[in-house]
Amino acid sequence: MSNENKEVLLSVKNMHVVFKVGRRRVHAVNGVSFDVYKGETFGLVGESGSGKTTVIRTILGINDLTSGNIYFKDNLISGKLSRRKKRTLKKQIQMIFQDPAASLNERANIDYIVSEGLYNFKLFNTEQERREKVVKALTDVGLLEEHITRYPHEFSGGQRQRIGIARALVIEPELVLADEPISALDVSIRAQVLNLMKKLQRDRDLTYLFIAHDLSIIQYISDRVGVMHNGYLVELADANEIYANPLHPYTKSLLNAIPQPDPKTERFRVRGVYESTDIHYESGEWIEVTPGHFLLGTPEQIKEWTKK
Amino acid sequence: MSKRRELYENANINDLFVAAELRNSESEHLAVEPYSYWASVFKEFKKKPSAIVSVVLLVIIILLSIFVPMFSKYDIVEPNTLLRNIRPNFKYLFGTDRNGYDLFTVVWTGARTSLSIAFIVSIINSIIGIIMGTIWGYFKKLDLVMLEIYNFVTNIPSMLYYMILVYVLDSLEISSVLSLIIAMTLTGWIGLARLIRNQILIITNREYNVASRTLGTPPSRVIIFNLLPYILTVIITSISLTIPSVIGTEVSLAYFGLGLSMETLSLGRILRDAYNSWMADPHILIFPALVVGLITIIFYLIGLALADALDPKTHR
Repeated sequence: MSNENKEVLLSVKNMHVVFKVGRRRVHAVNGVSFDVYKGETFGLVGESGSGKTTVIRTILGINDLTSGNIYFKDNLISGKLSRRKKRTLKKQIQMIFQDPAASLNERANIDYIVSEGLYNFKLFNTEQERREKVVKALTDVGLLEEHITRYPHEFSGGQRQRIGIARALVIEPELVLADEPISALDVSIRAQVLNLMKKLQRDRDLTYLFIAHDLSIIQYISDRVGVMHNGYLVELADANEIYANPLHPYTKSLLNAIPQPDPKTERFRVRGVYESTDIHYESGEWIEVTPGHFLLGTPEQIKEWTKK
Repeated sequence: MSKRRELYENANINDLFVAAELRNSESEHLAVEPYSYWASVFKEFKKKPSAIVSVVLLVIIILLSIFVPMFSKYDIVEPNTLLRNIRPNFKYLFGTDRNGYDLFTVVWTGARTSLSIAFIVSIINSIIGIIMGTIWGYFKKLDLVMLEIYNFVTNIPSMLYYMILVYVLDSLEISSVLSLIIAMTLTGWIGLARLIRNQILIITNREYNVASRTLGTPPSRVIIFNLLPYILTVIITSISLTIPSVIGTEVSLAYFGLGLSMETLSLGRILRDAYNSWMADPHILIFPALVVGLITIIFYLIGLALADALDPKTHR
């Protein structure tokens, strides 16, 4: 798969996000740049506090961008936007939230929750049409028509997350930002939700920007993977490439932290300890070491990491 | 070998068991009864004996204050010195006052005025308080102005402020009931507004509200569907507590000789009139005071029970 002839849907260029906490300034995101191609799943991994959620919240405009640019379909979407442009963007970019218990309005029934986007963008002509759209959105995610009058707290975690997916997809967005959509779910239903997301992606030609702190999940769902640490994007490559040939020491330490479901390999698995004090991200450069494989580091570091 | 055993031995496994079909829709079905918020509120409210007693008493008090002044056979316009200060008996349930009026009729006529004022003031204050509070909480920039107004109003002792206002309004040519209502509603909503503003600030950045903003839901719909239902508990509790406090304020103002004019009977005025002669004729003070106390306690108990019942955490 070459990336040159693919259409870039979302492009983040040199994103910086700085939060002011009292007099302190917290650099949450430092110069992150990546492209998301149409129809792919771009995975963003990193530990808690690495800035991945801030990245997608900034794309959505929930957090303010300190510097840098964000483009959607070659149009600048960061900075001051007209009201109308913001509205069309909201219809095109939707989000699936991490905690399905917290992200649904507990005092509204499923009918209203799923219809919310339909009302906002007036995507129906008659009341009957709206209801049909809601029922279709629910059945698409494996829920039943009878659920329409129920309230969120009556559902299980997996069902709730599917309601969240239905709510985001009913307005037919092009890009879906998924903020650890399965980390709050039982392990037994994670696969169900992931498979549903994959199926919906195939059926509707969706593009996902998928966040997780678990590399094994990212490996399962993503086409390309970016690894974040302390607000920096340290490595970016095809999913297969990242797993077969991780170059950055942080990526390596993340990968060998995955438990192996095989007693023999598990016994000899060496967990790498990542010494971030040796590596100063701010002096590093974003370099393409092999086509499509980017790495953050000084030339000497990259030379050292890439030698076999 | 029993016949049964024989049958078992010869049977094919497929005849004995039929494999259940896996139906996905079946596993999605919710077994619990559909939840209804208001039905659960009612169920929870009914559980408290104090709440039920309070509601029954409240209904009785409201009925008495509507119908006693309408159908009383006693006249409370012409003073009758022959009937002064009669102790309670079967003819005069609460006795008579120093004008020779039937105290039962007098007290319920006063209660009607006081309760009407209390309801009107509470409704006006709640409507303004809710509207201003939600706008204040949703648009944080209003803090600059609203907090100053709030500080200004709350730092003046409310009694002093009411006294000045009632005094000023009395000089205008409006009825004393209207001037009392205006005095109590001019700034009376600001406490509720501030309470709602605080609640909204607490919940406005919860994830479900962020989700609504991501979906492009306009502020008006976020306020009505996302914010107000969550703070309903706080609002209703606060309203049920303002009713006795308005009655209390009216009573206190009447004690200073302010508020309602001499020809308007209210609980405050009755209590003030009783002040001079209660040592000799305690029943003149006791009965109106009992009614005021009862109204206050009833609304307080109903407010507490409602606060619990409206909170969905207590449901089931």
